[in-house]
Amino acid sequence: MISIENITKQYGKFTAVDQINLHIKKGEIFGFLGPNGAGKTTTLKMMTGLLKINTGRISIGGFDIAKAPLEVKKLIGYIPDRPYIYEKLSGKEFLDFIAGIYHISYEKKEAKIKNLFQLFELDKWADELIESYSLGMKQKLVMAANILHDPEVYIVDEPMVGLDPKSARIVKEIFIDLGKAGKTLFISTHSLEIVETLCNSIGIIMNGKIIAKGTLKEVKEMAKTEKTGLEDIFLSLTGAPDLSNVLAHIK
Amino acid sequence: MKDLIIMLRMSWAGFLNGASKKEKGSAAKRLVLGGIALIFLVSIFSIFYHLLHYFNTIPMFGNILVWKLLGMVFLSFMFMLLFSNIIITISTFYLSDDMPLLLSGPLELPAIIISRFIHTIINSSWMVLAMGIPIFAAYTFALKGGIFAFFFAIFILVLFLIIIASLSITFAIGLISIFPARRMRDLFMLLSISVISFIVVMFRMLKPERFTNQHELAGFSEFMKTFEAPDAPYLPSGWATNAITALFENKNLAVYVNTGYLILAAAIFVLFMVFTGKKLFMKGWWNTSENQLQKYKKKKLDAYDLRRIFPFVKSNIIEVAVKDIKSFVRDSSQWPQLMMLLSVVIIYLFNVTNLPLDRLPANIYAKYINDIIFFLNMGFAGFIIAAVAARFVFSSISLEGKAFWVIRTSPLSIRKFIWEKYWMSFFPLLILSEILIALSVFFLRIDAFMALVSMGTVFFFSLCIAALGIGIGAIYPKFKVDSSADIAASYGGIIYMIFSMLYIGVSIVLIAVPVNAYYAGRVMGAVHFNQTYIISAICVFFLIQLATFVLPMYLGEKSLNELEL
Repeated sequence: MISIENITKQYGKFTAVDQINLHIKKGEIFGFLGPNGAGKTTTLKMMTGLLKINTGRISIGGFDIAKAPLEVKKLIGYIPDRPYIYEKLSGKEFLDFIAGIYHISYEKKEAKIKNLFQLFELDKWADELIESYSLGMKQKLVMAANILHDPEVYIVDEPMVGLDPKSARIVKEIFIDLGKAGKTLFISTHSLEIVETLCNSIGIIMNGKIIAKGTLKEVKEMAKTEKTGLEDIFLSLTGAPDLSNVLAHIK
Repeated sequence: MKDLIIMLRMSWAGFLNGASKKEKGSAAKRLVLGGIALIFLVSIFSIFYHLLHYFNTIPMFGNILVWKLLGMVFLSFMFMLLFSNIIITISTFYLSDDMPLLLSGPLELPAIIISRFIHTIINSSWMVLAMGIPIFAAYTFALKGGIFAFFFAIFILVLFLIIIASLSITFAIGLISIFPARRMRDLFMLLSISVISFIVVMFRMLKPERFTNQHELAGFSEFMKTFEAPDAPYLPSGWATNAITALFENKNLAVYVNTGYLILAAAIFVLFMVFTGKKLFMKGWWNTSENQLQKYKKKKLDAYDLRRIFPFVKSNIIEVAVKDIKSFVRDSSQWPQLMMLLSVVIIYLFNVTNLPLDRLPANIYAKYINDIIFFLNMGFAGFIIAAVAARFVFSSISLEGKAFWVIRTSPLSIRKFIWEKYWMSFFPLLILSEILIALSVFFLRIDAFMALVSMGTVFFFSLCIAALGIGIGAIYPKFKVDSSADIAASYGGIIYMIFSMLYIGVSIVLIAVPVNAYYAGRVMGAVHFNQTYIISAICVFFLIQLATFVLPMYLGEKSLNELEL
């Protein structure tokens, strides 16, 4: 469903993403891991057309993002890490706008919006201006907007930022259901717990390069560690901090 | 003191990083903006220098007028600064993003107040200081005051700025401890723009062009002589005027006394501001933090209702229009723009009813009156359309703000998006300009042929200026700027204005060829230009319209498509 071939992204002399290759099948939930500044968000932005690709090719559903961007955009839903949305609209009006852009019928969108507000516990806030929403509420509204237009591929950047434990649980359940319904999810996150419980396969990016990819089992083998937890595998691959040093600093 | 230095160093580093940030075309931007600033400063210097030079030639009262003018300058500065300081105080003290960080740190409250005071004074007063420099330079040159007098005047202005800023901040802190900050900022913005619009309209209605006439200027001088307000001895503006006047007139005691008043007042008001801040700032801060909710009542009409009314509209123009109109109406920073627009329209209509056509020699009046009216009216109307479009059309792409990713990741193509923005801007602009031109044609009582040509020309003006606004707005988007006034004043806004003025000028000259030929043929029985020349002018006119309509939109679409977010 998603094919990333040898893509590179440079900002001046700095190479943010360096020749990465990833192939994600339909219905797969893919976890994209990496330390801060590794190139995760840059990759996601190239997948959505927000950033240009310097070299390489990304295709989603068989369409090349550089050659047929609108076809790709009909297939994808993007949930960014910072949910900037139209502050002067109410939550309901924002979802109405999205429904209009994606040509969803009136009856269908009314029923769906009502359900989504209830699901994300935003129903009391539906007619409030978005500028009065908290970060987590905005994040939930962006997720609701994506589910509303029902894309084939979800591209998700840090889904749990600002969410309370209950909302985080709801989001996890939604992602599992979406996977069962045959949707493809590409999730960039720092939450190793999310990846462990949700994802069929993972990729780890560091300094713009993919250093490991495959199922959790395959990645564990690559890490050559006896420990089974993803945190240990991740730290083994990306380099664990010297904790004695950390403690010295705290003292 | 240590806390204050840390905060100021942080702000200074932020300023330096911002100033040294190199972006694409930043050298050209600096050159254009620097050039405009230089023209502005030289113009102010020149106006004041000539005015003072003229006053000096008036026997007996000349000297009085020179210092009354300075008094008026300080009084105007005082009113401008009172409003701008209050608005900026509310933003920097209560709505600024870094305040939660500062307030949660172990920093002394007085240090925070002083650091915000410095922010406020720089943001609110730099323009006044920039205007003060050429004005004082003009005084120094015209009255041969010397370099010391110039720097003394700047020193007095700085004291004056400190007094007004500390007074305004104290007032704003008191006010916000009772009322929510956002509402107060909106209220003061509206109030200040209303006052400025009122002053601008009143000034225009005074017909300042009369003063180009020596006789009228003498009458104005008499009027100024009897104007007592600038002498106000109990206002800081009075002390500032008196201190500078006394220095130029070598009255040492008056210099010391008035400078002493200013220094003492500055010290007392700053201390009073810090005291008020210590007592009331946190109350206002909590008040503001708890008052950010804005209730919104459901409206009945939405995009889906409009789709039912207009089922033949297939594009997303309805959704984008509904979103934009709702955002526009609810954004209180747009209201002052409407006030300014209204005052500009009033001034335009006042201008066309007061064109000094009676001053033209009778033979020229009879022969060229329709031509001249055409030139002037088209020039005025074109400028108004361009100015309105700068605020409402040029800014429309940028006002998508940081939410632009929603459009970019949706299946709505950039081409459709910018054309939808275009049509949404074009129709209101066309209606406004046709009403304006119809009113002006009515007031000027010009003939039916000219009325028709005028209405046709503004149709093209609306069509092409909307394209310039949207197109250049898409080439130079400012997604991180919230206010449409700031967007219009950006580098892209200046480029847009330059191209609009060029387009209007060229179009008027080209359309004037057949218009002039028509009148020359009708009034004098002879045509100045041959037929090929006239046809060529008409063809070039239409080519320019086509190019101005298509090119900016094409380049805007291309640029927005390539933009990285």
